[in-house]
Amino acid sequence: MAGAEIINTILKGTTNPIVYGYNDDKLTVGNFPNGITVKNWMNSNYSFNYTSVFSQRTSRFFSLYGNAAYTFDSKYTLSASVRSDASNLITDDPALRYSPFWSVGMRWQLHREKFLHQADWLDQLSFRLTYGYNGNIDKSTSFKPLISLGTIPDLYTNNNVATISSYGNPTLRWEKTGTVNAGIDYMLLGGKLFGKIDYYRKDGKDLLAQISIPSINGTTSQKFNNAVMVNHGIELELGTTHNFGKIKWMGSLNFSYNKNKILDLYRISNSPSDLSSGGTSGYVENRNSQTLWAYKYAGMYNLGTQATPNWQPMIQGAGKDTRYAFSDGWPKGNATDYMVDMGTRIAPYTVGFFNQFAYRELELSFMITGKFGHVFRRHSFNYPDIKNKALPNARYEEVLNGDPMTMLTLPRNNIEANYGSWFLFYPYLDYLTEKADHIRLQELNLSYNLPARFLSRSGINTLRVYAQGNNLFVLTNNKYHEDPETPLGNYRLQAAYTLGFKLIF
Amino acid sequence: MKRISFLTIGYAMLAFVLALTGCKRYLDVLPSKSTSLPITSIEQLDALLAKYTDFAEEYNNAAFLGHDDFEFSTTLYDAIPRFFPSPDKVLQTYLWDYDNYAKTGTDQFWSGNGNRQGEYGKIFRANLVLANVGKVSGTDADKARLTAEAHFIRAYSHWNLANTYCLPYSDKTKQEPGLPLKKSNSYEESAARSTLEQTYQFIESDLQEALKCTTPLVNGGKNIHWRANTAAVNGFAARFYLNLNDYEKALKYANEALKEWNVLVDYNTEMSETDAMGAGILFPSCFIFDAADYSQRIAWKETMYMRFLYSANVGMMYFPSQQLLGLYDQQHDLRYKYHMVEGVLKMFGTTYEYPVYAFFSLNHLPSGPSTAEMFLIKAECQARLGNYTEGIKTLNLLRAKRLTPGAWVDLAAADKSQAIHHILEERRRELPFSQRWFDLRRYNNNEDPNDDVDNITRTFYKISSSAIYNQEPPIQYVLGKQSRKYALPINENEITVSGGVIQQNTY
Repeated sequence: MAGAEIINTILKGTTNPIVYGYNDDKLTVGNFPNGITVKNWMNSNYSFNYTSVFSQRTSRFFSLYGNAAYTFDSKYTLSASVRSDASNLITDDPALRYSPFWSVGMRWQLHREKFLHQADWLDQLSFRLTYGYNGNIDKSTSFKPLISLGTIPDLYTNNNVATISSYGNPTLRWEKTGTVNAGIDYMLLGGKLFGKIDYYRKDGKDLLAQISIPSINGTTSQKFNNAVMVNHGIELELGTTHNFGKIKWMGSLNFSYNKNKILDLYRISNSPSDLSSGGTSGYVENRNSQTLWAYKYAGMYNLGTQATPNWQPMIQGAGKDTRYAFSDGWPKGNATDYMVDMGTRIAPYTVGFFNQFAYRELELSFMITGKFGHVFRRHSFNYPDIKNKALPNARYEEVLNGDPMTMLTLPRNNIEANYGSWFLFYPYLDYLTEKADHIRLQELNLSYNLPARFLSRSGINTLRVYAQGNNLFVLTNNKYHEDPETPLGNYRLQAAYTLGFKLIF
Repeated sequence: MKRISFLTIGYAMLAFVLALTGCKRYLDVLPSKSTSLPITSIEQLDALLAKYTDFAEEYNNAAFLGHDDFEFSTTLYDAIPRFFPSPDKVLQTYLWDYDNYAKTGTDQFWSGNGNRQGEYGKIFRANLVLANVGKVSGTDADKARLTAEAHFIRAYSHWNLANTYCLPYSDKTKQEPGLPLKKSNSYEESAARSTLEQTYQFIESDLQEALKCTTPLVNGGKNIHWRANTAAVNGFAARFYLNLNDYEKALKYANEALKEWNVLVDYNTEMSETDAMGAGILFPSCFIFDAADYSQRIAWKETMYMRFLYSANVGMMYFPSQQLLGLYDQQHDLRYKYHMVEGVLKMFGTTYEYPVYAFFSLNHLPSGPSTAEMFLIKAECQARLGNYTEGIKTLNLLRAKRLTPGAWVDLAAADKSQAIHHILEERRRELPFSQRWFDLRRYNNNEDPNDDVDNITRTFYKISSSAIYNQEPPIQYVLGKQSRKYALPINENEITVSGGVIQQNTY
């Protein structure tokens, strides 16, 4: 099969549509003939908010695709597909618009082989192997810098103005990912046991990463297509149905494991803000892409004298006796030298467990999910800064009574009028990292279908009464009982209860 | 069956190739009409340079308060300690605490910050124009105009940076570190610092290109001083050569600039007081409290090129030193009357009185080449070249517009050195803050020992990276005449992300 697809979307936006001097090519407008400012009560210029702003965005897509499959002897299937998506992204090289996606695969239905005909217990067994190639491109930028035009002429000079919207990514290309997937599908014992086993490996290259660069380039950071990442994992699925007398049981268990690593990245040096903020700017070669970086807290030390003490919190450097005071700001040099890899933020292991029991018209089902092996940052005490006042959070007691050698407590000197440098460090200290393992009862559902014989005369087809609970409980593995997915300060996932009935006529 | 499938594939491939060629034009339509545009026309480049808010402000801490025009006494600190809750870049510059200066925050003058463009951001725009001007549609005249303007911006910003982060230029310092030179938009270009000599050669070659500018300052009855023009370019050339102690060239370019535009604002008739904040505080009539309002700045008649020194901290104002205040004839000098504003501190809830130097806003002082600066450069060059009576005459032309009429207007000099002394004092009165840092560097390294400023001293509390020891007695801070601290340090983050390719200054 082959096909082509063309999509053209135009989005036009307008505010305050009465305009003077409209230019349809550039979407600029003129100023009000009598000027647009008055003085406000502070004697400052006040602009009428009449300013017309026009926008027009055009998204054009063109796709070509084809796929073919050939099955031989009902046992062996070969398949191939190719697809190219193109869009109107800005480029000097039109060839770059076309995504080069393709995949090939084979499937071997072993249960149809003669040598397995004897195996009555085996209903179905097949083996799959696919290799696919796909990718993604950043449409917000281009090889060369891009500019944006001002929507109205400058207030004071009446000149049209423009500013830089992208500083340019000369490495711009498709992020490419090659995926190998090998899997087995099986069904045993007359449908009592079924599921699949999958292994995949994804090799990504030319992936986008936000890189801090010297600001002599006009900007302090830029996205470049220069990361290489490998990502592999296993997925297992096991399902069953069984009848215990009149009770029908349906159960399924999923397990998955995933691990990734940045293999190659051109980054000269890591700054501490890059690492503590995470995202693509936190990529480090030979580490998990979601690594959580922290400063190792070293304790409070007296940097003054016995007579005039000056107690300052410090972070641990690479050497045993290397310590940096918070008050000295970020240490010099590559941040991976003194920051610590605490683990990954995304769970490598996830488990899902679903069960349904049916007894006549009564049904009970529940779903439990578990995520394991990752870490998260719990909340610290919210130290008040000089501008934003906030109510102290639940961790106040901890800092009030804590040991200043093992955790950041309260300021211990009378010299500093504020402690501005603390804000660079305190949310990112190592002891705030906790295991994020948790098990959640995602859903519990009880329902009853009124038997049809009661309904036959009423004209109602189905009447179903049900009670459902979501997020009923979570089991965590940190002593603060913070839910890793909704940390302190966010709204907690509330248990939700639903009672209802459903009628179908 | 096999044959069919091969045919199908063949047709499919044919269709694919036809479609690819046919839809190139379909996909060439830009995603947006007004944002994220590739550069295709000269109007776009023009609009980029017309956005003066990306160019005009200079967040130069050293020019703001690294010198002796600025004074922040312990009495002032005690009256309003919230000016400095802890040492910040402003205080670190004031006390020349460069270790901590390099480590804290971002240096906006170099790097910019958010919508504020640092000098390298301005250089990026100039390079973008130079890279595209040859490729876009437009007339040759427009292309020549923008080419000269881009060279001008690039020279101007590199000069600003070199005179802030590098040592003063002289035969002794030629091989000292200069700037990382940005000659293109390429990220591949080396970030390593050139020598000071190479830096100045680069600036001078850009200046030569800029001098090809033929755009007049006045166009259609308006002074278009936010764009490069012949007065601006000559004015900057005069500043450039004066800074190199090349008085003949400086004089030549100052004359060129004045030939184009020599209008001075007469403080006797064209200045008045205005209660700009409605709080009974009298500011000069060119002052607007709203720092985003450019109307008075655009209207200012003496501007040849519109640039402003911008005080980096909103709460911080230009506090004149006692020495600077003492230089004015407080009775007759209208600059003192209008610009030294009393009573501003009342707004901060203190009874302590100290004047504040105010011009366009609490943050903005003019810093680009101006008519007044050209008069001063002309006078100084005349005097230094031996024609000191002419120099004093030139000076008195400026003084007549600044002082109330009377015998005190016209100065006289018995000899060359007295004339130079008068002229440099006038220069300090006329261009406080904005030029003082650059002038100190120049005076202490030129051929004339008489104009040297030996030591600048401050009395202030001891500071650490995070604390101000205001319970202990104040100490003395000194900036020596030949101190290497006449070069501000580069932010450590720049050095980190360059992997150490950018070298720090040594002190």
